[in-house]
Amino acid sequence: MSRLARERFFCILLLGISFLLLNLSLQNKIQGLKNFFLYLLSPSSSLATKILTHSQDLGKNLLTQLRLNEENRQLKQKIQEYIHWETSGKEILEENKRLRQIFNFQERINHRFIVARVIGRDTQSWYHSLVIDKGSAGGIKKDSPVIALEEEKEGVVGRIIEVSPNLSKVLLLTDSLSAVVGSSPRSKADGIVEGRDKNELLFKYLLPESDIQAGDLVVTSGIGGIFPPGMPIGKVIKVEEKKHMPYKEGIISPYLNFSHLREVLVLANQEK
Amino acid sequence: MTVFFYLFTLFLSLFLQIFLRNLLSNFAPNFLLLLVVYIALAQGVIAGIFFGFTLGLLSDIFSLNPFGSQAFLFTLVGYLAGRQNGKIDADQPLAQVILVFLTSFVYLFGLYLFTSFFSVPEKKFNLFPQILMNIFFTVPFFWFFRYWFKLWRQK
Repeated sequence: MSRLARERFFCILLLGISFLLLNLSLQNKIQGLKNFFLYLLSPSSSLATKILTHSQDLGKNLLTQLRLNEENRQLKQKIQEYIHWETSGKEILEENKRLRQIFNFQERINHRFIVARVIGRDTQSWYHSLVIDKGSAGGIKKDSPVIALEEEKEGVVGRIIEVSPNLSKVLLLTDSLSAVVGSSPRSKADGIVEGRDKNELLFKYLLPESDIQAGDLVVTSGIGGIFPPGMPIGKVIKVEEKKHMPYKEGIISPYLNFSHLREVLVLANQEK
Repeated sequence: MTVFFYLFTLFLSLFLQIFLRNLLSNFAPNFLLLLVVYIALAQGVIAGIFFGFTLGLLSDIFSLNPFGSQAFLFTLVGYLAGRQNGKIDADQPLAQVILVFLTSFVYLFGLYLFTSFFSVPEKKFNLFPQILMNIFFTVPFFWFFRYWFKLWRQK
């Protein structure tokens, strides 16, 4: 049998068998066999279904993720805004409190004063000087006394040493160049209060017989003509008696915290 | 061993066909038809018709079409493609595409006739989308088959 004839023979044979199978209607009779093969090949279907479900979910998840990211970004932005408003609100409350103190202070003092904001400090040391936002245009004059309020009580800050039209420089009590005549109302002792370039003051030239003690309040005496009398400077925290020296010395803790100053009052020379 | 390899290929192709059908639905190419065409074209009529018949029978088991129809059509496809063995360049993509187009047409038209005669005829018979999908996948699948059979021959 030639190759072509063999090919044709097998082809007709197989086609004939197939056609016979078609006519026998075996669909219902091979159900068991069908179930067996379906069982063998079922992983393929489930794998495809899994991949299909996963790819559909992937799209949904991606969209959800994008939406969540956007939402997250917006919420973060809102949180930042709230933090900003909260901080601003706190600042405004604090400022309000300070301004209220100044307003109340105005009622009980018989001096005219100018309220100024602290806008700068000495870069070398915070105990030397500070800059305020009012100058000669605002009525500030050189050597004017500067005070501030803390817990509704006034305290001496220093004096004006430089004036420009819109700014002024304040020499702080704590600067070593600063000297004010101080007095202790309880012991009636007078002395010179000098700065030490740190957060304490030196109360010098106290008479040996003076009854100055730790805890005594020190106020301005009014001598010198710059500061009005009775302005609190600080509290004596230590008294030292120097041997071979004709006077005593005291260490004063300033009444005000100089690092927290925001607004100051510059006293005008004339009374109300 | 050759028998095992062909049986393995047979089941793997069925596995892949079911997988593709589930994954791509009506847009799945007929992987089995492409395989029969490739084997027939590469190895001749005898290999083509026997492989086509066996694959068709197995396919009939899973198919809802009349039992025997796939066996008949795959045998016919194996014969037609096998006749081209040595006559056309099996590595030429254009030749592959034309052959797949013709055999797909014969297969699908034959299936339509069998369904009409032996079962409930389909109201809508989409011939061309299936042919297009087969053509689209011809070149990559033939490339894959060539490496698959080469892999076996190397061993």
